[in-house]
Amino acid sequence: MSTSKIRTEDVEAAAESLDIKLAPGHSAKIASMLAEIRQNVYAKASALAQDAPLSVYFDAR
Amino acid sequence: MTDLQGAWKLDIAAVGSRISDKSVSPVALTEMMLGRIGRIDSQVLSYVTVLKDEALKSAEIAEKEIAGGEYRGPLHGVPIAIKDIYDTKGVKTTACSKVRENYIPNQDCTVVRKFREAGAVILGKVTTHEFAFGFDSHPTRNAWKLDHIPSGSSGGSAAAIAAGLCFAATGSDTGGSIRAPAAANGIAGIKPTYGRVSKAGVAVLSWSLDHAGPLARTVRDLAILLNIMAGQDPLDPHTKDVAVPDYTAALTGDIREVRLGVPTDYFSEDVQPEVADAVAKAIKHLESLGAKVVPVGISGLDGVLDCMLAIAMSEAAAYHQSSLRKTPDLFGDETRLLLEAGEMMPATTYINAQRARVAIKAAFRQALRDVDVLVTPTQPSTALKIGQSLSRIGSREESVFGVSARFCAPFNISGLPAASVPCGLSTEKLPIGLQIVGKPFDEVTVLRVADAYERHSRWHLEYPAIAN
Repeated sequence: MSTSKIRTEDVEAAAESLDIKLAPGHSAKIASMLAEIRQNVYAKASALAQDAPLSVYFDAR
Repeated sequence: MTDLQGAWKLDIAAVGSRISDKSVSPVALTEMMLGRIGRIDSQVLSYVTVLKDEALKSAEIAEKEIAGGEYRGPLHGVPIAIKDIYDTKGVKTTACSKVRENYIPNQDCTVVRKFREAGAVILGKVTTHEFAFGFDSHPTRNAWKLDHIPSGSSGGSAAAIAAGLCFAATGSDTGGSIRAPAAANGIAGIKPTYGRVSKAGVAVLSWSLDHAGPLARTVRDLAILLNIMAGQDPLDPHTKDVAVPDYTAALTGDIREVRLGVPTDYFSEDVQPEVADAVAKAIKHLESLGAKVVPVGISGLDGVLDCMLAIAMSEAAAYHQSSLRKTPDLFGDETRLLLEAGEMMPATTYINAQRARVAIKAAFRQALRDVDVLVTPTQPSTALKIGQSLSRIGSREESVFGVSARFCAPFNISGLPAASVPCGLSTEKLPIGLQIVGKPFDEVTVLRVADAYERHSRWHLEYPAIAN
């Protein structure tokens, strides 16, 4: 799985489908930001056991 | 009544004591603070709204109650400020955003209601980074160097306290937004355990990462404020039914049995030398007071900031979903960018970040198994200049976000209680913060260690030139 390749056109198309008016100049920044976050979270999650739990109701204890 | 000259330097514990014995008048104290705001805040720019008439009226009521023997406690008659994301009945609560510029709540949030019941005098609302989603808190300036950022998002709260424009203020912390500005302005702040303080009526940034808490001049004041703020709230399902101790009673000054965990990895990487030196001296100081220093390895923190961003951006985008479509141009550029990107965060990324969070929490539980607290720098460097987008720290070029969140955000992810106290000044005269982190719901030990340090240090007695 490659999560690092997000193109500016993909961001613009996603924004259109989501009915979001992007500010000028944002699509490239969003592509870069999302690629980095997705890649790093993916790497983090890949190190977890497949059945590692999700704690939906957060409790610090 | 005594002369009020220099009273702004007192902490709540001291000024409250003088109010209770009627040697200081709440009205005179409030007039003094309003005068200081009028003279000084044109440079610091910490207040969004000053409530002159309401504050004086509250002070008059407090004075009459105290004169009549109805003393409510240490916050009675003490002027404080409220971050502009906390709902205040009948007073604009803008979150420093054009999206909310005309929002006037019809009731107080839980924390403000508790403060009013404790007799506090609310001087006004202080700035936040827009919707608390960032760290430079424009247009507020760092009280120590006006061409530097106060950090954020509770930048108005911290700068106002440092400049002597209130005795305390509320803050909120999603990735460091209480602790980072406390460190950057040379004051104290605590992010309590997730679920300790109600967020009902506080604008949401990220439901699962947001924490409400106090900022003040001293640790004793944090304890006084937390005594009022803490507790389960039926209006906030995130709060937990955990007994609230008397935090002030825990401040014994005795830390002889306390085991201080000093992380050997993540929290010592790429730290400005002056910050590393100040923190090392503070740890030595704590050791000289009898604490036992224990090196601690904490594994699995790589990627923690991206997990925090994935969660915060997704949850913030959900919260602002309607506004982003209806009035996108009313958001500031930086906030809008983060919300737009949050809309496009895959659900799997959000869920995996929350799953990683469980593992990170377990790593901290393991790290805290044989120690009572962890001690780290609050930030890897001192405050950045206004407009400075990157800072070279060790081997990395770090953004304002990185500087502010790198050492703080792990404790939003884990929900652990964490305080910042001043532990030094750089050669540039910029404050340095020491972060003390405890076990879940053990704010008592965090505050006890922080107070013990403060009792034997002088940093909380340093004031920026603009305050004098």
